[in-house]
Amino acid sequence: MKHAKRRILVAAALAGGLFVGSTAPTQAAGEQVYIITAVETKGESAVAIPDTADGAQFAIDQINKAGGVTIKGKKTKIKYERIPVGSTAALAETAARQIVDKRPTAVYGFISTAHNPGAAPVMKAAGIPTIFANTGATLAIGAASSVGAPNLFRIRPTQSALAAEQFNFMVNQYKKDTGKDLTKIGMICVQGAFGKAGCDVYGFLANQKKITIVRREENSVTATDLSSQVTAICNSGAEAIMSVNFPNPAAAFMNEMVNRGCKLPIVEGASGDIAVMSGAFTPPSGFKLYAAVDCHPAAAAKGTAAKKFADAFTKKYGYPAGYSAGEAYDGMYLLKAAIETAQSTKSADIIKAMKRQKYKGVCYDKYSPVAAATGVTSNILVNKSSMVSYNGKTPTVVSTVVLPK
Amino acid sequence: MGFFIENLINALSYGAAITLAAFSFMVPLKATNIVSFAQGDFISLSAFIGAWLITDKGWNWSIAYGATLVIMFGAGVVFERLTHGSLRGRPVDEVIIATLGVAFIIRGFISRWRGANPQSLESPLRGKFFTFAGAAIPYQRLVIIGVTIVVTLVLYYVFQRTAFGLQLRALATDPEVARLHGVRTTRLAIIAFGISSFLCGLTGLLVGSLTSFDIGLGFAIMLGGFCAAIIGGWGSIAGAFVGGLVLALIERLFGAYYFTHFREMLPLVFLFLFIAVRQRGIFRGAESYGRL
Repeated sequence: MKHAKRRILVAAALAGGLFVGSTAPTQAAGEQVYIITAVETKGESAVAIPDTADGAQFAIDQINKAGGVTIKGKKTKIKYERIPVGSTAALAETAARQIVDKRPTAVYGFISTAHNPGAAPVMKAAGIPTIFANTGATLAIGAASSVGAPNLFRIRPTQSALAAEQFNFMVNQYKKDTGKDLTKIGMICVQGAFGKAGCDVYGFLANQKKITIVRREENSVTATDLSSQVTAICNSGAEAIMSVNFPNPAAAFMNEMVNRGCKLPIVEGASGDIAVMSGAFTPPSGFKLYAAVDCHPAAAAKGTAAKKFADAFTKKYGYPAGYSAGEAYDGMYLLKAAIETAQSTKSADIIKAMKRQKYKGVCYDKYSPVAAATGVTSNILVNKSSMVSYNGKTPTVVSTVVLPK
Repeated sequence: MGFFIENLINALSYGAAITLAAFSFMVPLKATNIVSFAQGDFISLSAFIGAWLITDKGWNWSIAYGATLVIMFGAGVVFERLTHGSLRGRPVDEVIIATLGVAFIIRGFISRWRGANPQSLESPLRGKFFTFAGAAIPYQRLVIIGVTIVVTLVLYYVFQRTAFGLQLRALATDPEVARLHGVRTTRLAIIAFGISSFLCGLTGLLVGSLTSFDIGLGFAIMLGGFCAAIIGGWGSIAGAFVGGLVLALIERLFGAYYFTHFREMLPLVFLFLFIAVRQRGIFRGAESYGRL
């Protein structure tokens, strides 16, 4: 009987200990910094690339190695987790619900505009500070069909803003290169909302500037043979090509141009840069490719933070740091800066602090929400985009623009 | 004139590629009555292996191409053992579903191994072209056409004139009778799958080295090959050749002048119309090799 009592007491003490142990992190959760990235990495789907996941992990490793985030004089290491998100709104919604259940301090990711309709409402309702790494216009508060909210930030410029910059760049660059005004263009647009939106901007601006679109061609997302499109555009009398495409069709298109000696200058978005940096397309001498990218750490000047990041990243992961790696890296430091500015891990404090933090990133020297008088874009982070040209595989930044303007 | 010639060459080379893909369906079909849905991913796999050997391992392109074709033949043998071989006696439908399973495994493997970024496969003819009547004609496209003509003639000869080809056809027509007549059915099936995979390898290397590619390379070619085989007459070598040619001319030549924004849909529209009129394809005599 005596032994039985003792056993009960020991068991109760152990159970109590377990209970205290299991609740301890919850009690301390107010001070724990827990960041989740909502991104896929290589191998998790047919379209997944590792850049964003690696860029975020790289930053987290650095931050934790340096002691972590400083809150009220105490250094706290970041608890970090990555939740893979599929390519559809429904999958993004599932991932968002999974993330919300884990009650993180902040979230970064959702790299596709297709994620927004599924993920944004869930993250909005949860009130967790979330940086969306896509170009969706609907993330802006007050935009048409907006899914935006004060706790949802967008780190990338909209595709329409970028397309307008690309168009204006080509008009100016053509004049600079040839001394003539650009009068005729050909367009290659990937099928779907992405291609249509970009090419519609080109079309609108061409109409404004009295530039004739002599040929508008389309290709599917999975196209690998674009010989018909190249033949049509290169024989159309176009003086330059405006492209909105995905990385592989963009690379296939430009390789096909080279295969038949078509040397028209071409403007592309980030896909053009991915095509070159992945080695799928190497511009030969005299081939004028201009790619618009949010940032290009690998093309940064020597000695800059961006260049140091790019070199260290390549050394660690074995491939060049693209814009999405740089932005994810910045995203982690941006959240660290906001938490340290807030001196709190509470969502409301971090959201306010996002507008006051002074982080200087590898992609841009200061990320700060646009303080538009109307407040329409108050949750949109200022970013800088670069137009990049190539000498072989070597990128050179030829112009930059701060977006939104 | 230049525009017409360029589009004609585009069409012929595209037709050649899908004809090769159609042949890769045809060989195991003749041996086993099995339609393999893994062919598209075998095409992609060969391009990825070639790119890996050249870019990552630094092999000379000719050695890398040869090694890739050998690897692909071996992959075909393993494929037969995993599907047709291990499911012997099971309904044909189950084996076909198994080939689809293998396709997903290959896709997952490539995705894990090489990722989603576009890839480049070196070719000595990349970027080389000549001009004729105002048309820029890439040499690589002529090579694709030439290789396909040679492969067609070889396959035609093998199936019509050699003991191996006749045994394959006998096997497809009636496996039991073929076995009773001493045909070594297992060995034939293994070789047929090996050849089929070899043809996928050839297609992947020829098309992958034209420009750039990603994991979706083989799928579109497989679809084209499938349509070509249906139009030609399921199981007919000559039919696949003609079917591939017809589809390519409709999409790439007719589509260059008319319905340009619906170019990719034109072959499918034609396919529906064609099979409504002539269900068993152009070469009707071939249907005995493909009872599914």
